[in-house]
Amino acid sequence: MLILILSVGCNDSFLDVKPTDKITGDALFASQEGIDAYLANLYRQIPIEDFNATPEAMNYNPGDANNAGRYPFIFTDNGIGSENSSISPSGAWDYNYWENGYRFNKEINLLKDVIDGLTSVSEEVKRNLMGQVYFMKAYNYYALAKRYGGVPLITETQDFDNVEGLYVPRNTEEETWDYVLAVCDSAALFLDQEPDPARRKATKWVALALKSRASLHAASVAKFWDKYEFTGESVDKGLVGMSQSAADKYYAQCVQAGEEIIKSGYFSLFKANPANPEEATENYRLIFEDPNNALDEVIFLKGFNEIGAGYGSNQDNWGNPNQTRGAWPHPGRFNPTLDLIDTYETYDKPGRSVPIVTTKDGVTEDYSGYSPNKEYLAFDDPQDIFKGKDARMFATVIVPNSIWKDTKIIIQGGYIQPDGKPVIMADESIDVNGKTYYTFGASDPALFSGFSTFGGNMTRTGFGFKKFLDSSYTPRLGWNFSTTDWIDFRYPEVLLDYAEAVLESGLGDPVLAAEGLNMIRKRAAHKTDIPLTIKNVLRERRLELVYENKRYWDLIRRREYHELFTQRERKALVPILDLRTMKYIFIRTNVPRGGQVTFNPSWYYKPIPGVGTSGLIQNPHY
Amino acid sequence: MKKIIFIFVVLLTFFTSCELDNYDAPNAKIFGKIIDSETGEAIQQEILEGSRIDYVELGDFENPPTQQMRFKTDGSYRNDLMFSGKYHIQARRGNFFILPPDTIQVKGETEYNIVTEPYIRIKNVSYTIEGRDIVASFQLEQVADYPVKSIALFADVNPNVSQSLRKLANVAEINRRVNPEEQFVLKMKIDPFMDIIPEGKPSFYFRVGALISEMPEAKYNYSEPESIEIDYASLPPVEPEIPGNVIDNCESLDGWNSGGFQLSLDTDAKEGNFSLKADGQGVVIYQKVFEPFDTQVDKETGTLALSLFILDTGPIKAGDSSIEITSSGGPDVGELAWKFGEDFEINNGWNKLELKLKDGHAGGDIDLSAVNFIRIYHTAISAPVVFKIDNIRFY
Repeated sequence: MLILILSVGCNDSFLDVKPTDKITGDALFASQEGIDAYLANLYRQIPIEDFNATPEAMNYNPGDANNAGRYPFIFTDNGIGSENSSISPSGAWDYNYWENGYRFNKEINLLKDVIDGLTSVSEEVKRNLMGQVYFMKAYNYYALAKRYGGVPLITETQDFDNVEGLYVPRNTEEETWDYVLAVCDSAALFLDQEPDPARRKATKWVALALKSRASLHAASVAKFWDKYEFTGESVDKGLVGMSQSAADKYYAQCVQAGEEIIKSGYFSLFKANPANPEEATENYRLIFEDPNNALDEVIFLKGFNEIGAGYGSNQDNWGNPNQTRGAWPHPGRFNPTLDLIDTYETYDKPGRSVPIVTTKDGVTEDYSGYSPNKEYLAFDDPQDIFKGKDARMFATVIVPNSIWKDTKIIIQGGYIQPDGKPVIMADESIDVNGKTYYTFGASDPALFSGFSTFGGNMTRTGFGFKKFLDSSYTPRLGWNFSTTDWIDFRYPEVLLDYAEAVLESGLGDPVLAAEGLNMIRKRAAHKTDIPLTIKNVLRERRLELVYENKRYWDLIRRREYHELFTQRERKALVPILDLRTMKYIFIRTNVPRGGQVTFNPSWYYKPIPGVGTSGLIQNPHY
Repeated sequence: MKKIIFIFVVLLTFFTSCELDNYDAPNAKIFGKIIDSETGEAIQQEILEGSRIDYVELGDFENPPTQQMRFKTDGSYRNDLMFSGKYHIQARRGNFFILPPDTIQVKGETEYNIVTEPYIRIKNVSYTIEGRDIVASFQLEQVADYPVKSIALFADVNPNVSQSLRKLANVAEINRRVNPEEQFVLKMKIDPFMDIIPEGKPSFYFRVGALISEMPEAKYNYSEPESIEIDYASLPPVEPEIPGNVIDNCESLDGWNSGGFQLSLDTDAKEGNFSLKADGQGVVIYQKVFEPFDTQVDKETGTLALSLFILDTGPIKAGDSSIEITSSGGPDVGELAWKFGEDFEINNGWNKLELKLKDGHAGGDIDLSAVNFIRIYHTAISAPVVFKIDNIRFY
């Protein structure tokens, strides 16, 4: 028997047989359907940070998608998880993309090889396919460069017979970014020159938007390198880090890409002139509930057309507040922080973050909890404390007592008894004048959405999550039922990229930049133009693009993460019913069970896996 | 038959894998300290995310990994699981001047000390309890010739207290060079300690830190951790909060400018971490222009209150100096002013000023809902003086 096993391997003539289970490139690309099918498979591997992105994985959407709702925004100052307080579930290995990035690169290179030899398709189709190759390469190397700095540029399919040739050393960070932007330019040249009506295919305009995003990242890393200067071999060899002169070069490219998009006239803001803030709230909400209604401002869309593993997402499952969870048992995972709410302006104080004031002395820096000695502002309805806040806030988060899907969302953290004793964060009830009052606002966990530790379902910041949620869908018991599409590039991002690049570099047109900034604000029902300052642009960027998975990389590229997160506690706003007056007061406090979190500056670059084998020079600190 | 072969294969696998691997066990140890060459003392470290000792074993390895050790809080380190052999070793990413990589032979129990200098020496640290505050005073001797980025007081129940292992901290950004004689003061309110341990006479560990700027990957320099007992029962009762709408708490130099005076932030503060310090001589002014500020008081009943420190009142002639506020964005128009020594008394040291708005000298009508200018003006000061102001507010 052993002899038999050993001898079967000797016949290798099957290697010369033409496979019958594969079709040739010419046969596949002969029809548009064939091209679309092949590209669809590649498109789904593009590292778009959508509803299926977590620090542990990207484009990972199996049957049991139990990532516990660890979406990127709960690891920033804009949010916190109901059960997850960390900002880095896997530390340095968060957002690791090395293996997947190079696997994808290999597949793109294989397509490139096939295109050259195609005989059955027109030059025009070939040209567009090459454009697609460039676009995906740019996107992929952008994703690698922002994580690892300089990486090996493998532009051709590797010859696996030449083992030594497989060991490609890292290029410098500057070479890598130069490559990303050059490939964006090639893509813009080769791809369709008109926007895709459905916004789902890469065109010149998507390539330029990518260029805008990538060049701003590169420029920022160069400009703010000094804010956390690394040392080591990888720095000495330029594998991470760039000079100040690189910053100007990249800002110039961002300005150029932005101007081309803005001046093309192809894109505009969805419902740019609302009559009032209420209308602005609804308009803004609609963009994300179904981006297909707002294609004027969408530059690139990733469809989630079908339910199921590999197609849908779990956005509505994790995002809905407890009261509208439907049949899904684990809602309420994303909790918007008071840090974010404080950042929103009010209409009477344009251009300023206006923190929520809870006491008569106006002090907003006191997080020490309830004290009978403080004089609290009292409200008949908890919503009243948010009066006058930016319209977008109400489309992004659910505030206590507001209506979501015909349900009044109850978020309450305690009460003050008629005898003055505070009962906060404890599950209790009391009878006052024949009526029973509950610390969390209702008798049964099914009837409220805040502060109890029940199932991890309750917000612990005082705010529910709303952006992207489908108001007509009731979550079912199961994975990947959400089919809301993801906007990857939205016109406001380009406007804000442009404004930032103009301010940081002094290049470009400040008038055009200020117009873009104030256009976005007008759509949010602001009436007063604010000046073009870096503070105004960054505030606007944080608010307009909140939860679109930009914040993490904004903090990385501008090297602000370690400054903002040194033993930081994120904040909550706790509504308390004062049973003496039957009015609501609010406590500004640290997020309950939140704890202090620190961003380790090492994480500005991710560790490269497998350097022991590959011999690549590792990034600093690893 | 199949079953027997299967069992045979399983057994074979089992037996072959039972042999020990052919690596030797670690057979050497290394230990030592990082020592300040000037004082001979160990340079204080932090155990969490602290300075590192990188080492690479030399020998016949392809892509040998860089391994790392960390220091203990007291600046010592030890690794009892080393292999005998030659190593490249370098302490880095820390709070000291980095030496070039060293080549050492580790055998048996090897002592290896790193002798260098810290970026900053923290000296003469003392802690006192004043009122309901813990007060740390200290001096800094900077070895690295760059501005000191921040000074800090850290507290924890753990003796390894540091910037990444602390329950409470007071970090003050100073961003300037310091001289070794300068006395620094940092305070911490005791009340938050009661959230950690609510009752009794608990002890907490305290440490003063100072962080240098410009040096890449620099970490805090520290004083030795010190345990301090806080007897809650012996604390004075809580004083009512100082009332008022604060127009400037003197925590930053933003907006302030001066003709003739050197302006800086000083840790001798009546509120927060800093007061605004001004020293100079002759005709001097310091002033601030700011966004219109609603004082929420009226002229009949309102008061402008501030803390004013004067090192020596000798050179100041009564009536020649004044404190002014206006709502015109500049001096003299829409103004209220009070004169030193005439409208208020001045003494050496800190003065608590309560200036009644109705007693102020008016220059036009001031709009108290939109005050936007404050100025302190001296026409003739005959000798160098030092002023500090803090906590400027209306009530």
